[in-house]
Amino acid sequence: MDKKILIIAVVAVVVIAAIAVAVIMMNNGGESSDAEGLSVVGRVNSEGSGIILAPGEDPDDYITTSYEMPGLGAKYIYNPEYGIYYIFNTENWGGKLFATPGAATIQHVQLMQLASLMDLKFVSYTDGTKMNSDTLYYIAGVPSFAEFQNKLSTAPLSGFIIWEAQVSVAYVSDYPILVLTNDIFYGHTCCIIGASNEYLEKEGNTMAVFFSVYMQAVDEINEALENPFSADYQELIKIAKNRVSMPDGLTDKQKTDAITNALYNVTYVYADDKKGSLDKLETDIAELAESLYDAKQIDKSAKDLGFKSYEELAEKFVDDSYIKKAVNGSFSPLKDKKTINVAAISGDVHQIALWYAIDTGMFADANLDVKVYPQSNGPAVYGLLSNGEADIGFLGAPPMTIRCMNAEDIHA
Amino acid sequence: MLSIEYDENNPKHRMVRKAIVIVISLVTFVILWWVVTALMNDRNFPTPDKVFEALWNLILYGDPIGGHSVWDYIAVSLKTFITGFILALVVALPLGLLLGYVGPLREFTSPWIEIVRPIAPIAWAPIFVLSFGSQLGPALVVFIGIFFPLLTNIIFGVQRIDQNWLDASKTLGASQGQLFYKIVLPATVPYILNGIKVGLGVGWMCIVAAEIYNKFGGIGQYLVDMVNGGLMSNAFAAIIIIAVLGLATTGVAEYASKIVSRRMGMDA
Amino acid sequence: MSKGEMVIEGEKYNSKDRVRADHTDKLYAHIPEGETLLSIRDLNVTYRTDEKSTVAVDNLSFDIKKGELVSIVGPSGCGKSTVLRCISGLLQPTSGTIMIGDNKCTTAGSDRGMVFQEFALFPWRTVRKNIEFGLEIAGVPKEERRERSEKYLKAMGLFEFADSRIHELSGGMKQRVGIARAMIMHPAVILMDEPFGALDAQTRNILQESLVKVLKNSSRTIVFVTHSVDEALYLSDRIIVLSKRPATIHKIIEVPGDRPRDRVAPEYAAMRKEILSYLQSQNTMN
Repeated sequence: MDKKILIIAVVAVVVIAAIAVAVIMMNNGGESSDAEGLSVVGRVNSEGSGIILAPGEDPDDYITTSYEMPGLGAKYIYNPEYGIYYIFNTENWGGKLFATPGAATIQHVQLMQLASLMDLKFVSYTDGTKMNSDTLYYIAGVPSFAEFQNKLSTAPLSGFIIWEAQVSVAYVSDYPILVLTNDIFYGHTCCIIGASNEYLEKEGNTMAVFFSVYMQAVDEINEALENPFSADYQELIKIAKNRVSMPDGLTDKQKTDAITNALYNVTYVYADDKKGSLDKLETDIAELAESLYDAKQIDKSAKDLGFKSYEELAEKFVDDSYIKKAVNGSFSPLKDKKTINVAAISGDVHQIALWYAIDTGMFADANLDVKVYPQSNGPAVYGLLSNGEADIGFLGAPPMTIRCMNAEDIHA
Repeated sequence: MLSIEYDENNPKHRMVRKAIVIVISLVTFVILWWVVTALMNDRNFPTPDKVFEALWNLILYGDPIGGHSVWDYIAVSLKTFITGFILALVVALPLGLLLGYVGPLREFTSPWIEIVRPIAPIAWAPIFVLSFGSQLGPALVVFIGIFFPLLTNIIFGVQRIDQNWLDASKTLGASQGQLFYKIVLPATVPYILNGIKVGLGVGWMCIVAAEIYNKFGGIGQYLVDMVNGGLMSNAFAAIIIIAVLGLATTGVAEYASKIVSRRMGMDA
Repeated sequence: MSKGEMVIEGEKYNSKDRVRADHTDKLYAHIPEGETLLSIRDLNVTYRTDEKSTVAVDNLSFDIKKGELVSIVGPSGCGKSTVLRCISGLLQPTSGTIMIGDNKCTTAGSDRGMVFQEFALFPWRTVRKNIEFGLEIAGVPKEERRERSEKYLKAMGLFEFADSRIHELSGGMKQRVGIARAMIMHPAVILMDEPFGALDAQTRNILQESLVKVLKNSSRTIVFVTHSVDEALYLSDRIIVLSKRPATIHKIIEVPGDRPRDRVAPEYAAMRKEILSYLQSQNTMN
């Protein structure tokens, strides 16, 4: 080879290597503390989603209900609170197309669980797919009722599984509602609060203060919902109408009806119980992690991350100490104003407690300056947690679990 | 080392040398990539071994989450791309020839073109998918990307036609129509080809943008879904596929361009 | 023509009237050899530059007889090419009449074929297809086109290059194609605008001799613009000498002797000297 070419090649390699080293030095400047990673520190809500059907569809084709246990071979889900059996007519589900808000959302996971219940394959719809009756098809990434309506004209959609308030918006727009997740997935986990471990180590007290205010907000909301003639109820409706995204073209009455309906369908919580326990959340997350690993959405198993089991992983991942501090009052009120950066999903009625506390001045009273960074979905909220721009985040349990495990934000 | 003297004039030698250079270059690239990502230790930048494993699995077993093979995704993206490309060709060709030929018309439409052209195709993506639906919308994003470079090249080409050719044809009796078909059209061909080459590159860049809003499958959507799910090795595998497809389309365009040029004798 | 100058055009003509047929020379078969075929009367080309107008060609009148080769020479920039372009119809004069026989010339057409200094060949067509171009335009059927182009390919020494691309040819060969392309149409008049101006001296001479050979075999009416007095003397039956701008006719010289001529014969030397000194005087006078 020519000497000249060799020299040029060597120079090029040295230059690139130097740039690489510079980039790494700059990057490594950010990572310092031992407390790396993320944790789940509280609940936000449970339930509060539902399945809408396309106009003209009949709910009875898909699910029928009975107080008696169905015969052998039937696919059903039992709701212990009402004592009702929800029976799925598998032949009518096969070959159908449903929309979900995103592959990592709880709604998507639930639809996947339904497919699994009915022994149907769960496959994404691509343009030109032939629909087989042994498969349930999905389009992921439809985040709102308005989007669903748009997609109806270009794809053979039968229905849409989505969170409130979109279900109620569909209801007041006279779309058939098949079922609420409250019915078939009684008490299921939905949104949770994630936090950066670095922040928790530095500002553990502030975290507890946040929870003390948040708990109060949740309690007030639940009380208001039980007393629809109270001033707090009026306040709640007003705040919700402001903060929750609903499509144009609804009358004011429709908006009020939709919001009210949605608020009643969501169950607002901060922990498993008033004592601040997160044990049930731990179990839920352990189950979720295992099933999502099997579904290949998570590519590292609990063992890959250094845990003996998914339960052990969930134990490390879920940290109830801060919420317990708030419940027990073992925190010091803030003397000086502190800022906390919160990433949340914009326009989401599940997370209304956060806004209620902000808009009624509850955080301000506790000397907490809450800066909210609204994002369009769970993964985006995780993104802000991951790069440190947010201290805590409000997002669904599935995106939190998927992203944290894939990025190894949880280690033994 | 081989003890064969390299002979410049031997085409076989040239081919082998070219192949060796490319191979060494690519191998060095992979080594550098490995070194950089290994040192960076950033989970968002996986090392080449992880990416190639993901790529291999993707090709062999497809996407387990979506339940499709990689060929399904490629087919959707290619279909969108080709639709946009053909649309751009069909509109830009006659329009470009017309605007190149008719001065006053060109003057009149010039402000429209100058205003719309700089708007990046990616900006149109959400609007087009919303208004024109999931089959036509993304194709239109690709259309916009290819249309403008193609149009401007054709207009330029018509204007640069050697006046002597037109004069000579007139002295041989050519009518206006014959001037158009026998002179303007063939003379513009190299510019059309160049416009296609440039346009194809831009058009392929629009695929990912178009598919983010489309949600009907395609390799671009797969990329976005993998990023959203934090499966970065898969995301990089998708990037490699997109790069290879882009290379393939421009390669085909180059080849076609060479053949047509040679046939038309415009490659001197 | 310098920048900003625009010809003040007389009547504008519709290109729909363009003459397209081949063998337009047959239209004038009734005119015997030696009689006037092409007549130019009061040809005037005036340019408008900003506010003032400049006359480039000042009321030229002359006749071209059937079967003769007439050269137009003159000092640089006098407007000889302008005159030729007016005759061809590619340029509309400010005023004046150009007639072939009893027909008034309007736009360009196949009755006045042209050979260009820059060859103006079509690079996307082969040599053969370039030559056949005019026949295609005229609607001549394929077999006849082929037959006739074969004849010309042979006559111009282009037979081996029939299917070659233009860029593969030397300058001299390219102009042979240009000449063949014009001649195959048998136009009433052939106009040549400094056809050998882009070639080196040797090639130039060779092509002059080729042209002479062609003229021996078929009678053509040619108007030939050139810078070279030697060329004019070698080829022409008559030479029209123009003055500098605004161009008027200084003198029309009859050139004796049958072609092919002896370039160094003494009678030509005298003519050469006379024309050259006139041109010299025109060029230095400012």
